[in-house]
Amino acid sequence: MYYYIYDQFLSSKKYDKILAQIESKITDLGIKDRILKISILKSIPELVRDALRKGASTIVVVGNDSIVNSIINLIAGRDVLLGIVPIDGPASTHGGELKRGGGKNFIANFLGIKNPLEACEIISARKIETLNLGEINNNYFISSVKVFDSYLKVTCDKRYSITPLDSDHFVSIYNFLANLDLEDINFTASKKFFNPQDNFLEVVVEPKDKKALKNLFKSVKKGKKPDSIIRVKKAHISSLSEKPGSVIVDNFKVFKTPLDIKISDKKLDVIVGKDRKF
Amino acid sequence: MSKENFKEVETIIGPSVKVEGDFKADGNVIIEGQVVGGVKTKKNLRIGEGAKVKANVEAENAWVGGEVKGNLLVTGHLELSTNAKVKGDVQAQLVTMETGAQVNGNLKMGEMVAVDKDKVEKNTDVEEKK
Repeated sequence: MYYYIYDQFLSSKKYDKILAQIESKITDLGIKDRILKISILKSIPELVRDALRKGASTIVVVGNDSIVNSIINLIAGRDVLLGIVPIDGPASTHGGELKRGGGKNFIANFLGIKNPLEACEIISARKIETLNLGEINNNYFISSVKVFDSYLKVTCDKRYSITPLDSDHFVSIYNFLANLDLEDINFTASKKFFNPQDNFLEVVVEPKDKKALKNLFKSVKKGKKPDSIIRVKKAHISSLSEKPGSVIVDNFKVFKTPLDIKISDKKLDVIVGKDRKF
Repeated sequence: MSKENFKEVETIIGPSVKVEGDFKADGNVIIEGQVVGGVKTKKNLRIGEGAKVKANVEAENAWVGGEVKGNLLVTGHLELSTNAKVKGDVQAQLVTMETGAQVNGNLKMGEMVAVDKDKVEKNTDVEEKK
């Protein structure tokens, strides 16, 4: 059974046309079972619990990175498959968490899912990959944790700490680089690093300057390695100041220190594009 | 040891990074920044020209171009380049030194290194059990 969960922002009239096209497409493909819509009265946990209770074998998220992240937190380790129909739109405050951004579809893009109608065909084709998930204070993340505050200490595998030597750099912890496009992914370095099936997280020290960061991504795309990269299983982030610091998870969710991060034992089965290879 | 040995690199500690503590790796490691504590890898280690390492270092093979304050234990081939400065004891099966490389400490070479490494590992095991 396919359960489609529509993000709340899709209730706006401007999305009527694309939703009609999606529904027509999934009807043609014979994969239209149930459609559930997030609203003020029906939260994501309620809808997901309901779908699982009724025997959903595939939950298809229709929306952006923020709802994908929320759903992952509810289905990680469960015997259910995740599909994504990407539609950019404002990030919702699911569960009342503080968020920045999250309206894009970097995760779907990384999985080789470019646009909503193509996504329907991808879901119908059911090419399945099992991905690692990260855990941060018992919540799951799929892509990254970014540590912008310079007074935070990152301790890896309980043995050593990593500190940028200047304020122009910050530490990030990656499961994979969601910002890379599919065509950029088949580079040699990605097989070793940022691979969401290798059971490791990568700690990277990145430049804060956006131009320098773009150059870093460009060089990674060309197969070069970042300036600093360390593979870890666990990390702890603590504040060196009296006040707690914050990190940004999956590019939109904010968590406060102290934080325990690890590669999770639980994994995620997800439908990916036909050209997606890890 | 040429740069070719580092195609399969596992860890890079770049020039803008300081690592403090007991760093262990299974694969090839490149250090261009600062490390304080200990460095141990089962494979190759490259300490770049701008690197500052205040740590006891263990590796299978090593190329040193920067500063090391601590003991170096290399079970295979140790290369010290012209800008290498080592303050500590050095043990390696094979050592190559370029003109200008500095070592201030005892230098042991040959088969005994493997025996010494066993001792180190046994002592570490005992300490960890404690």
